Amino acid sequence: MAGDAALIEASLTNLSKTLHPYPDAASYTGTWIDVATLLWGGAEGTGGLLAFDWSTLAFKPAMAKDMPKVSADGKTFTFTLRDDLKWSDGSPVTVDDFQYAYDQASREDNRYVQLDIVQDIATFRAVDKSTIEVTLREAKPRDVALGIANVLGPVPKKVWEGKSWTDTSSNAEILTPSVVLGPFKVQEFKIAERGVFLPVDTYGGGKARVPRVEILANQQPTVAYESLKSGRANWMHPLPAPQYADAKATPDLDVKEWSAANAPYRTLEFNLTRPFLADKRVREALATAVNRADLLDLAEQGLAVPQYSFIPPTNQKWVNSAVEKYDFNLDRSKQLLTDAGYKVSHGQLMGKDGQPVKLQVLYPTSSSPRAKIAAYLQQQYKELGIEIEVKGLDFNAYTDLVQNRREFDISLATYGGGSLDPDLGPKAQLIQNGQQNVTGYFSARVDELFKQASVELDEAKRKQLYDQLQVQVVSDLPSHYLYALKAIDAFSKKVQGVTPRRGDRLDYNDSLLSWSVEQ
Amino acid sequence: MLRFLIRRSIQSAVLLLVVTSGVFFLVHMTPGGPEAALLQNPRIGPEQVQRLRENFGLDQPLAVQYLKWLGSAARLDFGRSYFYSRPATDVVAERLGPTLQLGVMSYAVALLGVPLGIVAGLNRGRLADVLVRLIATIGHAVPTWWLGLTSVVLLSSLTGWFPNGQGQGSPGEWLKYISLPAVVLGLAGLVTFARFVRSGVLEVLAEDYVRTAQAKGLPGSMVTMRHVLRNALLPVMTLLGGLLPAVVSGALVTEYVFAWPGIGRLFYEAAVSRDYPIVLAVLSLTTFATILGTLLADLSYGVVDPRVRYTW
Repeated sequence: MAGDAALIEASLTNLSKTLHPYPDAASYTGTWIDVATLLWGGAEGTGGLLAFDWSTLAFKPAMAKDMPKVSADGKTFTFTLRDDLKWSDGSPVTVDDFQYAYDQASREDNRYVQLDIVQDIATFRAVDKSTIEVTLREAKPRDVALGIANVLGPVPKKVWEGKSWTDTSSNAEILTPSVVLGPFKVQEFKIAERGVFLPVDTYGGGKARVPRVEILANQQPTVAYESLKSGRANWMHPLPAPQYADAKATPDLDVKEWSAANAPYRTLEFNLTRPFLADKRVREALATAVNRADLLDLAEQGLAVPQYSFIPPTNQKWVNSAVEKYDFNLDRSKQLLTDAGYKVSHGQLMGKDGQPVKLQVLYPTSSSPRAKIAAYLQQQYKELGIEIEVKGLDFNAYTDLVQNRREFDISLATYGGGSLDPDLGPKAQLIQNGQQNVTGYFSARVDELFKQASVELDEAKRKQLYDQLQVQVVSDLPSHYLYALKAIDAFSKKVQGVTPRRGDRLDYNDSLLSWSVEQ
Repeated sequence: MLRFLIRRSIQSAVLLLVVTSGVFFLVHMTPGGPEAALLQNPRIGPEQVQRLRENFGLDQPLAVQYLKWLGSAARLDFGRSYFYSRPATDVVAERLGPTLQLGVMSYAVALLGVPLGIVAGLNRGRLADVLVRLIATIGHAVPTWWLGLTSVVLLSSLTGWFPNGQGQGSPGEWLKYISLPAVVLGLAGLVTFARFVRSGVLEVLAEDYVRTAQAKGLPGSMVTMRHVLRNALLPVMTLLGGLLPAVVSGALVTEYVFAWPGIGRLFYEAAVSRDYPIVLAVLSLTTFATILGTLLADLSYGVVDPRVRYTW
């Protein structure tokens, strides 16, 4: 009989350290999204007036009756709230709950992780009992503007008002919310052990079919996988690559694999402040010495697709396929180094100072695929006579060295996830003084194109701008893009109704509402 | 004895101060602060990172941070965890219960090594001795992580005989949950105790006073109990001195494999994410337990061995 057994997820990590609907930067993690999606609804945990449809890659109405009316200047968005929305205690969701959320989330001392987006809102006001009017500081492209206008979901004012927004000791709602908006509510929540969630009857999107969702925290990967195989759990998210082949061959398991439009991707980042790497011919030589097909087989067991620009090939809305690909060609690599004035002597590439060329490749030890990439580079670059020192560091030390101190030659980075819009992701890696610009890359043309694209309201013209950007950046080669990773989850075949779409997480689609588990 | 206690207490307090201070500076000098990993999120800009640093108190000079921390730590306030947004002592206290349960149970398992060592020593070269030595050799050779992983996969995930994680419900249920991790964690101690005690027994059996007792015609059980065991077990006190820190500091590998929500895993996670308040709270607790354990072991020597008592 369908729909009457619990969904039990074997999770490889702790549960979220907070259940606050508006977490700070330190608490905003993948595990927060896991539980916030259940408790607060909508993708990324913030039940909004709109929802992002990962089938069509467009916004659609959620808590709003329709798409908003947009003013002629493109700055003001007027939403009409649905009148059938209820909190988990059965009380109605009101415009005051939205207003209260905005008033709190927009305060700097409340440290909301998306405060920068909230600050793009000039005014947020409840016009009447069913109308919310959001005015942006400046007109933005449609999806970016809708993302900003939709950044806030409601918080139950009657429960939270008068309590601290941030202090867990004086506001128990932060760790154990008694009234929630999403399709599930908390029954039990122990960060290092397990979380148990029960369906909310009054949820506006409908009632969940599973009677309980249980997340088993901190499972060792082998143990988690064996639990899945033995039926003690029925969902593993994500499935680690080493278990992929066995899971595919196990009749009782259903492996879901899909290429998300916002897929994470791997890239080689060159430190352009190093004289050797400042030469484009050298970077091109290093890029064409890498065989993407071999590498993705070696490091990712084939579970990836080649990527050629800063937008994954799966993001068909924005990707430009007509960019230089730097396909594998070792002879060309050698020729490029010769053209750049470097010669090989006794098997070693000699620098212009007469010393052998040595490069340091940095990667975080928390990522075993990146350790394999580093070893592969060591082998490939040896063919060019370049000695590679591979240096694995724990994640914080790696980030500190690469992002703060810029002490590296080549960094093995992973980016992606989150928003599809290039203005909200890769831009930070490519503009001068961008938050994630670790390579030291600067191109006045690229900065100008990003600037234009961030305010261009015509979608077709905007696409052209990003097409030009991709051609320019790939041509300049501050980073060599390797491949986009596939998303993989494993289920017991008793779990039904799971349909991967184009987001990198399955629960983005409908917060598990369509899922059921056979007894 | 009072003078000894006072002197050792003063030494212990100084040692505690030196060790925790050293740890404070070491922890803060580790590359990559707590905010480093957050930089991977393109939404988190330098202003937010700066706000976080101010909120964490990391924007102040290290010496100021140290003095503030020392003043608070003296009142057992180790600050607020950066990522739990709660007092570090609360977070550590939550994990102390499971760690103590596992530590005590694993030590109970480990202490089974004492009778095994006695049996082996008294039956040198016989079947019992061979079996104990075989267990000891295997126990030493098998890594804890492998044994843990194998047992949890076989006995928990595949057969379902033992549950995984921390125990819930009745004492019987609790025992089912804790048995497997306690046995795996206690095995290394059991093997150590067995080998230690066996060698002690063999050594004492060769002593003149044992031969004298036997020559006097004393019954074998009396020779064993009064002369052999009493002397052979003295070195075990050294091992027991390490009991307290081992029990409170948790066991990272075992806790990780068995999804046991204890201090070992908390410490590892805090160290990786640079959650200094939790790292320092755990290290201070462990240092205190080590110093106290050593002090208690020294005191117990005096109680059980008159030769030591006379040196006070």
